[in-house]
Amino acid sequence: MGLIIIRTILIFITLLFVMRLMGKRQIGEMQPYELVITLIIADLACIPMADTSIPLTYGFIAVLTVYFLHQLVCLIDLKVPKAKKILSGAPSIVLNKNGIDETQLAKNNLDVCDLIESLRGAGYFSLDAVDYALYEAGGSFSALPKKEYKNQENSLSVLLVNGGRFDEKNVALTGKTKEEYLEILRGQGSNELKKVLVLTVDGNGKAYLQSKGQKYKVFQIPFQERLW
Amino acid sequence: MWKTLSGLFVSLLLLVGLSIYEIRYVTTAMDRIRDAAIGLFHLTEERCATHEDGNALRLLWEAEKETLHIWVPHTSIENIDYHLNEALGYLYQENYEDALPKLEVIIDMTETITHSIALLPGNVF
Repeated sequence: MGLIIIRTILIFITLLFVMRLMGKRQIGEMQPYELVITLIIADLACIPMADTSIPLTYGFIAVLTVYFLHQLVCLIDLKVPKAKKILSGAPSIVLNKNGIDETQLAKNNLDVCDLIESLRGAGYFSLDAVDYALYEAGGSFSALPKKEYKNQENSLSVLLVNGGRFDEKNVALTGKTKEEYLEILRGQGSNELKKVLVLTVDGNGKAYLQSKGQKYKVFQIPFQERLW
Repeated sequence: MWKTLSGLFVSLLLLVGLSIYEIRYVTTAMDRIRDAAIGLFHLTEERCATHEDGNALRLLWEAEKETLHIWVPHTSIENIDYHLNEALGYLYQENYEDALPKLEVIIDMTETITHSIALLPGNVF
């Protein structure tokens, strides 16, 4: 019994630690410790239930230990703010008025594609549509749109450069070549492709460019006709 | 807050209480069975154990195992059942040489079961 309690506590701590290391992507909409409980409680209940060689008491004790740990973590969460940050994490502002914060993205094992996907999920189809975007401690995504966002003529943006690399399929979709885009980038002061964090373009030709460690730029790329 | 604290306190009390009770109960029950098995082992060594002596050990074991099923893995109980039945069969035939190793296994298993619930690093990992 004591062994089961100690083993359950050890597995709980290990899973919680690993979940916190994995970042917000794996969490979904739960707090890390809630996800850990969801992960282990099913097996704790099912294994003694299905395997008749294990006394059911083992299942009861393990579930009771998980309940105890849940109450303990809830209490720490409420009463010790510093511990709350360790146990549940803190919100990560991944996009601010200067553009994408790649450090915060990397910290949560996310890339620009994930950010664009989250923005689309929140109803924003362009990186310059929001002033702030953040992943909450529980993994959910929130964004603060720009004041003028509603009046903008919006169109779906596609990713042309992600982390210093061209997305060849999207480049072909716009009807321009990589060389032409390199020329455009040079015109914007970005001489090295590998230093470009992100370049997107929407159907109206509006481009969003951000070089690593710099503020983003929005400019117009001339196309003969509207792209999409 | 009050609900969280009371839940925490009650569950902690239950966990600690049950752990202490389990260790004490299983250790006591296994000690009783081991003592009886050692007694039977000595009688068998002296070639004077009867089938009735074996039956006395079986009755004690049957009484204890009803509750032991709650705390000990059922396979461990089945293993003791198996070796005890074999030992009793040999005693019925007055085959003392073959009964002795079986009784030794039972004595060893009672120690192993007690050891397996102890809070030792080897058991935790």
